[in-house]
Amino acid sequence: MRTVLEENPSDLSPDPAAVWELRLYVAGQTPKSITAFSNLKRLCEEHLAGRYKIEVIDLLVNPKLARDDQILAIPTLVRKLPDPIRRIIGDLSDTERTLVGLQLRPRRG
Amino acid sequence: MTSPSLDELLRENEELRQRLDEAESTIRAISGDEVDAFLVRRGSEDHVLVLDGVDRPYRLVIDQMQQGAATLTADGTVFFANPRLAELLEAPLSSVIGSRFSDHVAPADRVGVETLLAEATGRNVACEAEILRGDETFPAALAASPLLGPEGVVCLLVTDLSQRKRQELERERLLEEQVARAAAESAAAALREADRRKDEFLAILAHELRNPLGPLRNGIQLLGLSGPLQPEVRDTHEMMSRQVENLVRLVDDLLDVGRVTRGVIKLRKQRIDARLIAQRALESCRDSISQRDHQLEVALSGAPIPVEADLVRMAQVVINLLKNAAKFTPRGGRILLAAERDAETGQAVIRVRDNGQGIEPAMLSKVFDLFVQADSTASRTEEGLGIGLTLSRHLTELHGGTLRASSAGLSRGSEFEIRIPLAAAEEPSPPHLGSAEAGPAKPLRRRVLIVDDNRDAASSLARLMKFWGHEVREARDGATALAAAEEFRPELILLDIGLPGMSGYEVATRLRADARFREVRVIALSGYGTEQDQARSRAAGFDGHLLKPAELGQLEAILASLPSART
Repeated sequence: MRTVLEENPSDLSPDPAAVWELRLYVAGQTPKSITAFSNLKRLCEEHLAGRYKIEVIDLLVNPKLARDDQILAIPTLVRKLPDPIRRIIGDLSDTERTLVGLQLRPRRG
Repeated sequence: MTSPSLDELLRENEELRQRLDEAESTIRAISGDEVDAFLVRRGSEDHVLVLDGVDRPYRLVIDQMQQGAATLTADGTVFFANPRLAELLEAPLSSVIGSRFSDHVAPADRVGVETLLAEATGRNVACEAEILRGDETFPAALAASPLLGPEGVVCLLVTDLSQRKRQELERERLLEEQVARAAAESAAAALREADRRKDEFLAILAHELRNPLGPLRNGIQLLGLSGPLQPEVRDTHEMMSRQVENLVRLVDDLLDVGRVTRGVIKLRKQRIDARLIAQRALESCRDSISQRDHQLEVALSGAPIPVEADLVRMAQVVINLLKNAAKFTPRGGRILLAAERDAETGQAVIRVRDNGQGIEPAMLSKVFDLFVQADSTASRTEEGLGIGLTLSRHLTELHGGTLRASSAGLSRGSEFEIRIPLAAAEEPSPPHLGSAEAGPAKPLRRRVLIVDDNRDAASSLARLMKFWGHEVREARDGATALAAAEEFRPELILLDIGLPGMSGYEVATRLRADARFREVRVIALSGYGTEQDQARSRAAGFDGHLLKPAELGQLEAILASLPSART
């Protein structure tokens, strides 16, 4: 029996044709910032090849930009498009959790 | 009150869940060590707090770089320093931090550095200064620049220049060495050239001087041989004779110097008694010594002192030493001439000691140098070219011996010691009659042809020969000589090499080619006496080679050696 959740439209994979806009907030060259970035790239190449855009925002350079997306901990990945905005905190080493967070993989019940 | 619809509730639920998810994942990320920076609001400003690592690359640079780095507050205190600075100062880092930087600067440079640091709050500045390291200092380059932030904070870089300075000094030293070497080489080359030119000049000079000396000497000899002289005339004659001999000796010396230094002089060594050398020398010097009222002491060993030596040359050396002793000792001095045998070292020792003006320690090594005179002022009483000691030493060395000078100092006299190896024990033979011994004229009347384009030379020689009872003809050139030879059939031909037209060599060659003159004794007369010149004479067919001016003894010996008269 499928749960209500599984039927939640927000759990469904978004339109495959849309270009994803991803924003990665980093703090200069901290180890985790670097790790997050390389993980993100790898992931995008695997699952979103040809239809993604990554913007890297260095909060060390301009901390004010954190307000846009209410960033607290760094690094943080924000999916701006497609809707809705999704936020994933951390260095993205847990690929499973990252994909689920990006709605590229359904959440296991 | 409207109750929310199921959809609305579901949406709200979803939102809440998402927010919860986020909150949970944020906490999880933090506690799971997945983040290393936070955004923090201070007042109205946002700041990023970094846990670790963002400055690692920069920190690494500061820690590892070659320079010492420090941050100084406005009053010059070090509040940060990298380990390298502590290393450079050879002080613990903990003591460097909190110290005044200028306390580490050498006192002489301290004010300069403090001024520099004061300027550094406004712009980048640099200077060099000596920095204290333990008990020593090292040269350092200081670069200071203002740090953004609190007023007066300065970033300072300290570079150790000791290595660079050492390298610079080394490079300079090498360069100086190179320059000095180049200078020395070119100086040596210049000296060699000057030396060569001097030798050439001396040879030419000596050669030129021999020409007038021949007639002069012959003439004076003739004067002496023509019968007893009036007392006044006799004194003058003796003086002229002495002076001409001096001239001849000087010219010989001039040439000898060149020859000796070129290693060309040929010794005529024989077994002789070294005491004979001393005696021979004394004969030539008695006048010089007595003229200055010196007391002479002669100490010759009672036993023979056999040596292999050229009597004439070694006597020259001793004469030189005796004459110097006489010259450089004030009137009424004492001179000792000793000859002894040093069995221990196997050497014959001839010593000349005087109680005269002595030799300065600084001059002792220089007295044997060429053209050095201990006394070149007007007080010189006798002539001399200053080649005596150089020549004397060379001649002694050619005998395998040494000539040394010693002196207790100015006015304390001097001693010159000749040492030459003893010959193996054997009876020394009497000296060869090849040297300048005057003897009675030989009775046999010989036919002598004298060929010389110089009229005085030819006629003076001819007169001498005639005086000795010989029949003499003269010729002025090669052609006349050959004609005279044919007609006169001389037994002895004295042939000047330097003839106009046909040279003496050619005349000799022609004579030799003619069977009629094969037995004639043909002797060359030349201003040049080197080995090469003598060899050339021999090759041209000469039987002998005399150096002008020919010594009487040599001429007599030649005449005596002619075979019995034939018609």
